Amino acid sequence: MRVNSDSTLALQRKTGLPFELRAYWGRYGTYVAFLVILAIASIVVPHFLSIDNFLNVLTTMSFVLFVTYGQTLVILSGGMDLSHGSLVSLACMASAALAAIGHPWLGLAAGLGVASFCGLISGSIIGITRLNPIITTLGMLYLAGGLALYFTNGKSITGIDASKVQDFHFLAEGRILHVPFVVILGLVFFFLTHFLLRHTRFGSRIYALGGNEEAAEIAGINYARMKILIFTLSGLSCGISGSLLTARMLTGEPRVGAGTFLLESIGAVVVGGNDIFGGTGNVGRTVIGLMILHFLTNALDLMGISTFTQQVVVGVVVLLFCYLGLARNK
Amino acid sequence: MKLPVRIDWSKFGLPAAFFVMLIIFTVINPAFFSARNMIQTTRQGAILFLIVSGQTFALLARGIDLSQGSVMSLVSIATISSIYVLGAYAGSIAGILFGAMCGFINGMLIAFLGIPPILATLGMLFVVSGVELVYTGGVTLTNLSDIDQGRLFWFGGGMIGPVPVPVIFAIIIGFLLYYILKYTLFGRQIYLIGTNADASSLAGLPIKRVIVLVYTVSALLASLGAFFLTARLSMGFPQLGEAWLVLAIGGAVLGGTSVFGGKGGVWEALLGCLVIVFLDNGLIVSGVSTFAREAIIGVVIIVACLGSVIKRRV
Repeated sequence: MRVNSDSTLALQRKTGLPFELRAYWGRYGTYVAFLVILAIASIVVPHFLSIDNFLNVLTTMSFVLFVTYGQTLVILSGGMDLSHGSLVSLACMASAALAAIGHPWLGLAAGLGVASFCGLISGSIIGITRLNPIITTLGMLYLAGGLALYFTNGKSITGIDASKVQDFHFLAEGRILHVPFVVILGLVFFFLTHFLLRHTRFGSRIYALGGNEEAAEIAGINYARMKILIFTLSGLSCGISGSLLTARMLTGEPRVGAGTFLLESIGAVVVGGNDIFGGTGNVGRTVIGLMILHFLTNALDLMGISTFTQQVVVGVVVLLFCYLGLARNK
Repeated sequence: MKLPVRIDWSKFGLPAAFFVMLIIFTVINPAFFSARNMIQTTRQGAILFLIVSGQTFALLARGIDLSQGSVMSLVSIATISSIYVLGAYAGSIAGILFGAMCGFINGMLIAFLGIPPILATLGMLFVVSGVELVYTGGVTLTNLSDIDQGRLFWFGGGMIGPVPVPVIFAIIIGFLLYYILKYTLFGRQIYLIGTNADASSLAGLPIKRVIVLVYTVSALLASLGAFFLTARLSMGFPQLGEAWLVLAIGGAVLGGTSVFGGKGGVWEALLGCLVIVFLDNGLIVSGVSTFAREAIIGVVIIVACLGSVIKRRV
């Protein structure tokens, strides 16, 4: 999808920064931007700089966090998963349906299972037939979105008894030593993903595929198996987010993933400074990217700016970082 | 057994499937083949055709336009709001130009800032839908004056003889697009860039200008589609375009336009959108629920894409 590589090159020539400086900007730009946003918001926005607010942002963020881990794997391997929003909705409905009849843990398993299964299907199609990931996952977006609504004819699933599913509810709302459990969960999965990417053969194969697909295949990497695994994990990540959302709201909401989930999941990866074409980046950058988006919207929120305006700002920020990201990836 | 004449299934497979589909739906419910239903469906098909053609331009240049749906919603709102001020005709043109402008910005982002099409248009999707929600607060715009409403409605709901107005417009625009893609410099340049951007850059093609134009055309056609829809509803609906994006890409790919650029055209767009529109309508007539329909069409799009992949390999 690289339409005109010459314009990016011309652009780099135009930026005029000395090479070393540009390299530093490439490496640390995202972190600097994050700190600058935090600093400005702390000074300008009242009530921004408090432990409660930070924990609040981190908690909200955690529900999207899992999805971005999945997206990171996909994008690093040179693909893109557009089905994320719908898979979250579908997982949310599946887990709510079982939680409502008193089996929250079966519900959790169902949420994880359904979303992983959808990922498995996308992955198989992409891996075996080499269909373009964007088209495949776009079809899956439509398919899973339709299924999520079809379950209940578009209605929410309510009637989950909070007293009966206390443990399940704890997953999303509980705190350990004042720290929300989801944040801990997010941290645990961060280390898992990081370990997967950096210290396993599977991880280095992901980088290899993203760097140069043909070379990776010639070197003996099984394209189909890799794609199936990666997209299944991506689906699983949606399952985690979807089921946790059920645990938090105690309702099954068929449109829960329809909002900005997709933009945030791809946006976090881009804003974090990972290469959108795959091959370079890491999951830590993604987390920083998501934090930038969430602290920014939180600051806007505290300033009393409407959700709709925030959506515009997030869109613009993603575009801006994408522009900066491309300018420095060479 | 061998057929006396070898049939090229890659060419006739889809039209054949289309006719089989028509027959099946007619058997399930004869009302499907009634003149009234056919006219309604072609009206819908004309609108989808415009949007799919727009997407085809983006795909041909090896890009993709994810912002079409939200641009459509924006056009719906912009058209009605400008009609309040400017009257039906000038207001409609203003609304459509507003949509085309979004495409122009897309093109600039892609050509001059080097942002990959999928991200540029995804960002645009959220910016545009945010803007129109800020503007309307999510409320539907109605209350046109009777004169304006009458004039506007003709474009979406009117008939010339037995043919709906959007169909006539779609046919004229269709021929125009066919001519542009096939016989003009701009059209040929799109195919070249889609086939090999580096080579066309070396050959001195004005890539940036073509890319900007491509995305402007894509948004312009989506805006025209949105305009006919808005005219038919006679109101500005902030969620107008949501469902259309997947149909637009699906229709283009279904018809045989390649997502890898350089292959496809108006004929493919027409074929794809006819299949989708009649499938959707046939499912409605057969009594399938809205949400199940969404799922079925999702499956069909994926399966059809599989077909195109297999075709490419052979």
